[in-house]
Amino acid sequence: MGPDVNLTNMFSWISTVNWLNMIIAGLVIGVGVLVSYIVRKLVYRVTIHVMPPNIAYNIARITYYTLVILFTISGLSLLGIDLTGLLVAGGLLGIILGFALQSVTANLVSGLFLYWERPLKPGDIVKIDDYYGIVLDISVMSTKIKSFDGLLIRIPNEKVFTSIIQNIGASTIRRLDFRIGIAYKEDAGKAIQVIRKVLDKHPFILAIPEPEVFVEELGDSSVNILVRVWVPVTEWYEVKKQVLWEIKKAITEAGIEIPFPQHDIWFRNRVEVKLVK
Amino acid sequence: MGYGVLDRGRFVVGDYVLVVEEFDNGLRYSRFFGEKMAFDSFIVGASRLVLVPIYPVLVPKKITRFVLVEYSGFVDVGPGHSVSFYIYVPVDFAVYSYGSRGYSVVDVFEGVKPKYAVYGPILGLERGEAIIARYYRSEIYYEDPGPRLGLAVTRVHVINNTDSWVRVSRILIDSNIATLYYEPGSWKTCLQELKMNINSPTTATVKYGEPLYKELKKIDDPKDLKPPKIGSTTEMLWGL
Repeated sequence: MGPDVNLTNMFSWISTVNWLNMIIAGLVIGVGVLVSYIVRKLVYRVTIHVMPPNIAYNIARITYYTLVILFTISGLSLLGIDLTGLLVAGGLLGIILGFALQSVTANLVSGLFLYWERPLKPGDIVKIDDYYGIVLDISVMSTKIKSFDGLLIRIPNEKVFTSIIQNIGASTIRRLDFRIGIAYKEDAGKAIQVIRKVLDKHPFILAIPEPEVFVEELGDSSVNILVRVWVPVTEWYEVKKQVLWEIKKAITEAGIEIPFPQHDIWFRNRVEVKLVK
Repeated sequence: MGYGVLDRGRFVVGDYVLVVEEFDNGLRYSRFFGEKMAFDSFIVGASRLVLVPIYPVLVPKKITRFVLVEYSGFVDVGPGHSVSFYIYVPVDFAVYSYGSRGYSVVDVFEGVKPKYAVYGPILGLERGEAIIARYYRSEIYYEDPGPRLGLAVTRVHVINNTDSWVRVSRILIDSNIATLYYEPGSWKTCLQELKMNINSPTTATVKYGEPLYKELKKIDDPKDLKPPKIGSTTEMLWGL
């Protein structure tokens, strides 16, 4: 007769269920899942314009699951199910995970901020801390650059975000400075003319802004001429390699002396020099 | 000497000497600067080589598509007034090889000494990115100055649409929109006429009209040089 008893119990349980709450909870969860799905699509469509597809996809997915969990908890609480224990356990788990994944989270958040602020983008020539190179990729956790000696360098996003970034490729043009020392006996005006001719010949030394060539300093051993030129940022390295030597050649050809550092030593007292054979 | 077909032989173009010779089953094209060979190419499958003017944005290498022509003097235009004048625009030289299946650019070299400049903000608080442009300083002519090696002629029509006097000293030309025309057998080269509509004391819109000389031949644009046109005007946003 056991099954009869069980059936009776079941019917009595069914009669005690608050069907209205049950339907409302079901509706809350169902509509919640639908709303979460729509929000996920919206978040993806908005974020895809400002960040790479994989990041946009992950943000949309996290948003979706967060909303589904919230709607489910709301729905279950309507049924009178006490979720306090679950929430406490979830909170504790969150704290433990937070500590365990501290650096991961920091990198992730830094990555998101990097996408937001865009201090660099793939293809830029950058200096991050002491690393010079071309940005290959900015992913969620790290930024990869290829150094000029061919090494692939992975820098955690947290480090990138908190470092001073020199983005050399962010501007169209870049300035190059050279210092040329000539002997005191030489005519600085003539040297400046010679230097200007060299600068004028080079196509990538820009006509506008005009190069600046002037005597900067009367140094210990030489009159120092400062040469300031602007070049397209893409040609910076090539120009740097070529121009200084071209200036040196032109100055030498013009008969202008580039002196070595020299010291004249004067003796206060008479100095006797004895030659020993 | 002028633009057109390069038969077998030697041709003096500015500072360079072009040499075209036959070899086994093709042509050898060389370019000399004095005694020094600056370029050498063996071409197979070409029926002829042709020297044409080319947009001055490829020498020594392509870093921009813009040309900035600065005038040797200023042009002051009163409110509602307009003025027309001629200027030279630099052009480079290109040697094309033509075969039964189209053409290809073999060599490009400078027509006038290449120099580049910036148009736009360099330092300061202005927003926006400066533009690198091939730079040339031209006289202003009130009559057609005639053909000159390495230069194309165009007429600029400046219209001041503002209520104040405006001083004009340069024009920005986009090689993606501009078209070059030439006359085989001479150095005669021209661009479209340029209409510079001044919108404010510091901004203008450059429109590209009909070729200055309608009888000239249009160059065959290198296939990878010009992307599909999005606009047909050039905005000068950083001063006139």
